Amino acid sequence: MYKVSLLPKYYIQENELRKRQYKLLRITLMVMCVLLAIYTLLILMHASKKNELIGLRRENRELLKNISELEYLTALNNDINTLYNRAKNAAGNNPDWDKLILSIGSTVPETVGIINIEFNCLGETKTGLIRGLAIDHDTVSDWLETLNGLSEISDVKCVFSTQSQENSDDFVQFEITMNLNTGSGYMVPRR
Amino acid sequence: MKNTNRKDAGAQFLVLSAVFCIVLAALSVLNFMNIRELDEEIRLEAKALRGNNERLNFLRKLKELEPDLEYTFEVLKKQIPSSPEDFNIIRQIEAYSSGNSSEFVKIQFGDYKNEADINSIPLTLTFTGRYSNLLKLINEIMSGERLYRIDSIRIERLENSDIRADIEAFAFYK
Repeated sequence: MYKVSLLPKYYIQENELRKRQYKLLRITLMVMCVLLAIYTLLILMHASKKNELIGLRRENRELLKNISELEYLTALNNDINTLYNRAKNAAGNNPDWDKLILSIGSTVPETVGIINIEFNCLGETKTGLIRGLAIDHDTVSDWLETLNGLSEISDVKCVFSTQSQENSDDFVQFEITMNLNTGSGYMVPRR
Repeated sequence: MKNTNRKDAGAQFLVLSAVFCIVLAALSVLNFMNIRELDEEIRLEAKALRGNNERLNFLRKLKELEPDLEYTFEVLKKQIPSSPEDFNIIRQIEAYSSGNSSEFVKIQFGDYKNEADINSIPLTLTFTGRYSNLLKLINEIMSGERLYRIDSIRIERLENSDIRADIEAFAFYK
């Protein structure tokens, strides 16, 4: 079987061209529809994002307004920090004197008489010296042991423990040295 | 003739459609780029919002503590006054001493020391009294209105049951 067309050749060509044009137009229209849909979608997305941004900006403006109303507290807080640091540096890390004296004082045995106590803090060197009289050497050694257990002092040493005269009934004179531990540091006095 | 016109109209329509497609594509690309820019702006704005929220929360907490902050500020200003106010030092020490039944024997001022952000006044103080009262006195000096740093304490037993305390300390001013 042969397909025979009796139409003139130019007519056939024109027909084919029209068909091709029509097909091309259909494709173009389809693409246009797809692009239009994409564009519409993008416009909607853009609008939604824009609204989101406007909302965020509004929220941020309100926050900044609230912040500016409370900003004086930052200045107050900074001033406090400056003054606190200044006071902390000035106060240093000397021992808590009341605790130190109290804890040493409360351990003094009844058979010990204190002649004097000296505490010195020269920079990082913090030392203590106790001179006293005890009834015997055992009392000195017992007290030395107790002093070694105190948290406010360390490196407690007996320099000497000696009878004043060569008489066993006489008092024993002693000298104890120690290092003073650093205190808790500066604290703002409370109400 | 009619056929040729129809053909031209079809071609024109095709060209118009193609141009419209190109315009739509270009607009879509532009819109897409705008959306990306908006996304970036939203990201930055959201980040700023988070930061501002944290800042506001911090400030609200400070607001709750405002009475304490004001009190602390006033206390700190008194701890390190802006001038030496040595007259106040004598007055305070005297008050602490008499409040604790101790005798305020001596106060001696050394040379004022000027340092970068703080000035100090060296003091030598001497008290006599009972051990427990002197302990309270030292505690009061340390926790009083003005800041004092005690660098040395010498405690000596007196002939009666009292003791004598020699204290080397520093007071401060700005």
